[in-house]
Amino acid sequence: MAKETHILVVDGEPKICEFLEILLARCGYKTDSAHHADEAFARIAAGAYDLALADLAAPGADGFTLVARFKAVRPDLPVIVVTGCASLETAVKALLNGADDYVTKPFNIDELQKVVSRALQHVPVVQ
Amino acid sequence: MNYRAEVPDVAMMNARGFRMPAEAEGGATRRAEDFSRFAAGVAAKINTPLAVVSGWLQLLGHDNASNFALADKLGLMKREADRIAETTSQLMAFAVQAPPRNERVDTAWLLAELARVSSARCRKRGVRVATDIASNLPAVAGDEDQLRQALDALAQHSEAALSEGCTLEIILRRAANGVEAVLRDDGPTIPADRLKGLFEPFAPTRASQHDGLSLAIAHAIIRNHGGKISASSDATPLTQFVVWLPSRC
Repeated sequence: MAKETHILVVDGEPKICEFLEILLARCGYKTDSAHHADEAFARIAAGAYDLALADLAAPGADGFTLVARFKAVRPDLPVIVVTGCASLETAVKALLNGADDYVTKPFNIDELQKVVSRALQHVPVVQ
Repeated sequence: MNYRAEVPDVAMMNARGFRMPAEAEGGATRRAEDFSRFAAGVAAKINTPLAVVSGWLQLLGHDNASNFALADKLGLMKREADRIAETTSQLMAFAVQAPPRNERVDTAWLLAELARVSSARCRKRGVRVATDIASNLPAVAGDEDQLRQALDALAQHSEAALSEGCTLEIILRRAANGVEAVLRDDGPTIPADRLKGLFEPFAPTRASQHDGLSLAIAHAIIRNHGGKISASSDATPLTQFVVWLPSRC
């Protein structure tokens, strides 16, 4: 039996986590949520996650630090950052800080599904 | 009748880089910074519940695609949510706008690129884009990305008002101590009452009673570069934006 793909959702807002968990579950992924950076680090360190979907504004750490700490523990872990600001500058900064891709809030669910799927296949974002 | 709107030398609401009249500078800057923090905070607060609403509307739309009446209403709600999202996005861009970089900007290349993008947008609607871009112009120092954003906002504002058969001219020419970019079109004129406040945040545009912050951001960017921006609209009918940027290199 194939291993289930396991995604960690990191967002300070439980309703966002709930929505993302339901959306990702419908795509066949197993999900957990963390509402604080410390909880997210603990889960990444302890769990066998295949991908993290993390809000840059999650409580407990600057979003870019969050990505760097995830990568320090799990360099192979694809990390998608969620940003409320659709500026190119924020996206570039996230990618330069180690994120594999980014999505903006509010979500376009079709785009979100594509980005998750692409990151799980380790397809790099066009440089 | 001719109308002309020069942007006055008054305090605007962006926190960084606005030139204020000297006597008002201290208080106005503090108010501008307060407004920027407030704007960014409001936008962020709206964005989270909006993401929840928008997300569920999309899921419900997928689940009810065969119920046409319901899908239609859900689609309507999603489009309205998108309008709110666009406003919050512009509010954030307005609030957190970075100070401009100080690099050599090739304005001829920038305007040629703008014309290409604008032409691609207009082609489908039968709107013609013409260019008259001078060469050997003095160099401008500034932030290419921000200037592109500002000029594109002006172009999109004009494009939205143009219908089939109209022409948008994109002109770049030498001007006193700098260069002048002109976006001129033969579309409907802008009524005087709208022209007066065109660069104010959330002012109605030519094409709509509803607009966001794109022209206010364009104004802020040009002013941050030490430039000037004006809009005029007369009964010829010709409507134009003129952006003057100082030469620095």
